[in-house]
Amino acid sequence: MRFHTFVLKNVLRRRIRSTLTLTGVAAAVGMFVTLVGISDGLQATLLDLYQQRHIHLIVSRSDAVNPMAGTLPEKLGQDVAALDGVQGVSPGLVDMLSFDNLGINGVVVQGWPAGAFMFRELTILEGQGLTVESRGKKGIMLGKDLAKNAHLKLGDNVEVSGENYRVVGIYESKSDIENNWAVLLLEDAQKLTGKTGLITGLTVRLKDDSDESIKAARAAIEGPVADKLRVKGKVQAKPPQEFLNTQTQLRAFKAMAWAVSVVALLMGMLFMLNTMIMSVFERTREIGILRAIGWRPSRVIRMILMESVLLSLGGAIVGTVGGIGLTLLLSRLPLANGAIPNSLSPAIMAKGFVIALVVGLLGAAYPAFRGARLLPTEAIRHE
Amino acid sequence: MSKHEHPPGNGNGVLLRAEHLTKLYPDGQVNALVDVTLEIRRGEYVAVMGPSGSGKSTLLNMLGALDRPTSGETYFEGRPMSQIPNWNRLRAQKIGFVFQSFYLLPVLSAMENVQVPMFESPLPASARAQRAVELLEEVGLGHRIHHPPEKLSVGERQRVAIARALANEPVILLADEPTGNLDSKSAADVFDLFAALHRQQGMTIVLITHDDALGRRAERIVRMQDGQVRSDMPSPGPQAAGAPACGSATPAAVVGPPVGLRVVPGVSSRRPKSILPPFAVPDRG
Repeated sequence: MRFHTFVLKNVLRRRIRSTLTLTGVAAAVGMFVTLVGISDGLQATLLDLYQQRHIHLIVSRSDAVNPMAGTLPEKLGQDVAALDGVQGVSPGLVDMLSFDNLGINGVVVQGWPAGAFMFRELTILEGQGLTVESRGKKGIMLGKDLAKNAHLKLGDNVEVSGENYRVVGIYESKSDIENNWAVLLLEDAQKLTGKTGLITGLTVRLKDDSDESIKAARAAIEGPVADKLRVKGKVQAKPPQEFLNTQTQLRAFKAMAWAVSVVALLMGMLFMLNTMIMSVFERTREIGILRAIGWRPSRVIRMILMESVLLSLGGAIVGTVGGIGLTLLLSRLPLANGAIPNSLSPAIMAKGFVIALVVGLLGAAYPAFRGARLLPTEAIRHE
Repeated sequence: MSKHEHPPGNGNGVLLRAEHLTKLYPDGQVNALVDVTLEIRRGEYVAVMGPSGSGKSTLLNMLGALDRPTSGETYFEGRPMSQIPNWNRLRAQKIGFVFQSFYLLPVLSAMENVQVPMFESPLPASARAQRAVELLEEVGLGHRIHHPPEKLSVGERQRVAIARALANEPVILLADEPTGNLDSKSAADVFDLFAALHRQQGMTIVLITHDDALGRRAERIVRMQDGQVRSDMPSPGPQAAGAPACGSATPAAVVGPPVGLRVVPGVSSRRPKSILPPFAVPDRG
């Protein structure tokens, strides 16, 4: 018999209690991998999207609570495009609008000027894209998932915030989020949102992506360009990673995910502590016997810690599998709007296991210490 | 060959010496032990007898490195125990304990129970398992190695516990009322086993018993009362009790030559296949 076999047999001894403890840890780990996984995944998806499109800088309003809230003059796009080292600029106006005739509220609509490089990042599945010729024709492009969920086909009419638009194209983006959005020409979006001459941000491609080049472009945009348009101090130009890190909504979601996970993990740890204390207390005499027949205190500690770690890693396996299932399920809900990635990264699963290990070790530390401190003679007398 | 080379009957070397041992428990004013001085020689078979509360178990705990005296000193193989830093190792390597209530682990089979002390030995898992089987065969339980304690009779359980006590080849067996929970027949079998271990392997044995008849089967009887040794003399032998000690045990089987001992080739003569007299071998429970 190997020592780990002995440990396993001890764990299997109280099947109901072990199962409950394992379930408690599984719930905590499952919650962690799901919530933190989704929040990390969302950020990673967005980052990936920016990187795929070779976007080096995102220019937005620095005092805006969210990217849709703050506006900048449209002319900023031309001024930035005129800078040395800038390869291309795509101004955009993003807002949430409603499809009145369909009773759908809160559709994210992006407005881009005809010919903007962002149009080339979308694959047209049906119909055509919005071009210079589309001006004044009130056309709208829908992401494939939005079209599917809203049961809209090419040529259908959509009443966008009180105005009729016709579906001229259905596109596919590499981003699931964008597949749930719609695209209008910038001037149409400005009109619908009442933000004539304004944009919510710019995406900027540079000729070379060296740190120096990015730094120089940032300085120029936030300095002289902003100054010229009298928005100095209100413009920020950030690389995608930095931009996403400072997004209030993403940060709030991340903070919430961590807060809930930490509470769940603390509860898991208390659960483990309770289980292991009971287990040690019940086996007081047995531990006394083990000590009497020569077991060192360190072996008693090892036994208790290994039992706990076995339970917590079991919980991690169950919790991770549950988390993968839950994430997949959530990502398929229409409510998710493509904002929930359908898989968890190996990194978050590894984190789940490490955290479970810590939960197991911390939860069992005190019981193990108590077990090891038992005096054999007193422990054997224990009733 | 066993790691401890003591030919049977070697009674010259002192294995354990207790000098002026006193134990005062902090919770009570009772002196559990009062100035006890005692020597246990290698290969000796000693019964410690006396009424409840006379200090027998306390003395055994001191001898077995389980508890420290309030004053006095115990010498193990000549070394003062107060100067031995690692009592765990001492207990693991040199001392075998047998308890009244067996204290086998319920989730483990007989064979696995015997292996528990061996986690502290350098033996690999396969050797531990093999040794456990050999030990169980020695105590006559070769046919019960995979049985959990609940499927064994009380007598068999105590024999598993004895095999466990022998796991790390101790130099001394300490038994605290090993037959206290046994019926008379099982008690006799267990005593036969102790007698055989002593006689054939030269095992030093100190056991506590309430049973006068069983106590007489030891070589020497130490009688205690009120924490003190009242008498310490050679056993008068089982015949002195008049009737046979108990059960089916006969005096010849107890003190006579190893009748019918089965020595299996390939196994050390110190480790016969079974050290039980034939009448006590298997099939009960």
